[in-house]
Amino acid sequence: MRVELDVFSGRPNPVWQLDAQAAAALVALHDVLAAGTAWEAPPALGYRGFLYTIRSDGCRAHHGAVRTAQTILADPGYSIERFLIARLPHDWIGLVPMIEGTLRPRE
Amino acid sequence: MLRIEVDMFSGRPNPVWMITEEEAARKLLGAAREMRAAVTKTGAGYNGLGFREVRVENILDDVRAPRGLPQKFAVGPTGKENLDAAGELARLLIETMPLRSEVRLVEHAVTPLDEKLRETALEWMQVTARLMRKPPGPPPPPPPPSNPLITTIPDSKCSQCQYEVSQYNPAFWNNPATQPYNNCYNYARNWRTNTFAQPGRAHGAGTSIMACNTVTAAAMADGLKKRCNCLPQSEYPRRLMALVIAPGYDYHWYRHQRGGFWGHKPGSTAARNYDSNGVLITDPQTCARGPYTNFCDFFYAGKSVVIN
Repeated sequence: MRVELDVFSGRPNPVWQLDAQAAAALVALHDVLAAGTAWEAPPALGYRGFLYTIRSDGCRAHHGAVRTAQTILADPGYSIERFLIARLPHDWIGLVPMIEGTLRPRE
Repeated sequence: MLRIEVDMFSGRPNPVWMITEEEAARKLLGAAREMRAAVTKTGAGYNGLGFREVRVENILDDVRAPRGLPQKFAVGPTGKENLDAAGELARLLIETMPLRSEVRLVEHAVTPLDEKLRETALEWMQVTARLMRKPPGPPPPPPPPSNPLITTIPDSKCSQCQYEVSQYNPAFWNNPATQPYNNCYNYARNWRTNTFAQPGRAHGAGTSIMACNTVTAAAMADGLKKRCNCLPQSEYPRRLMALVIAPGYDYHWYRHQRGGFWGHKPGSTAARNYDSNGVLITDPQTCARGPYTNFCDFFYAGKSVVIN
């Protein structure tokens, strides 16, 4: 499964592949999320979320919610974002503090 | 500024060049408008081997195509009823191919422009024209307008210098065919390359070190000049750009627009004129920039600045 970290402005965003096991784990995490209503638009500059596709549905996980074309899912524990942060390719590990700094508790 | 491509090759890059002279571009568009029957959508005509068409594309967001002409179109004796007019316009276009391009494009490494290539293009066009023979159609008239979207202003930081600000035009960038493939550098330079342009890459001087000095050096290899090194009128249109850095990770550019504010395009997201707090950007040095904490400098980019 292809994952993109939407974070850069000038350089191309980091993109990588999850292996089958990690992809299945991500789908499992995604499928247990309940419907939500709160969606905070990502900022212009900096961390704008993780992008992935499940069953042809493009998803953006950002700030404790997942937005697809049809719906918003609540992820108050940041399970998707933390899962993908833990699987960032080594070259981009330095971005983790900046991303985690945005994962404050949802109101 | 116009990008001209002769679609004729199968393996190597097609001959490509830029028409940077405003007068020449205006004449060419005027001729295309006068021979409207010769103009067609790109890819609409002959699509076999050999000469197919000459493509003309406006790459600036602040230059309006003459009424009746799209931003991108094709001519050639292949796709229209008026084959003679189309062939004539294509021949005129091919004859503008510079024998030594002042604007270096990456395609020139494999397909350098020279007289032999120009002759070959003309010969191949004749071959295709013979395949496509059909009777003539209608011709049309009038000339193109001047550009109301650009204003020349004095630089408030160095009054001896002037540069151009253009009408904010996010719709040019915020569409599915453009938005994902063009970044802040494309926007600030006002050149839609569809390559997610990187500073210095067009000149073999790119950098992976994200710091003010390295990105500045890369951009200056593309032809940018530090602010207050005045650009001559011949570099019209001259943009004022601003560079900021997320140290170690990324860079970001802004462009001064008409109206006193700045526009930018964060990565593949939409072009906009507000900052990370949703506030209209009146000064890139003080606007909200998230992790792009280092303000580097202001630069001028004239028409000779080539990016890729």
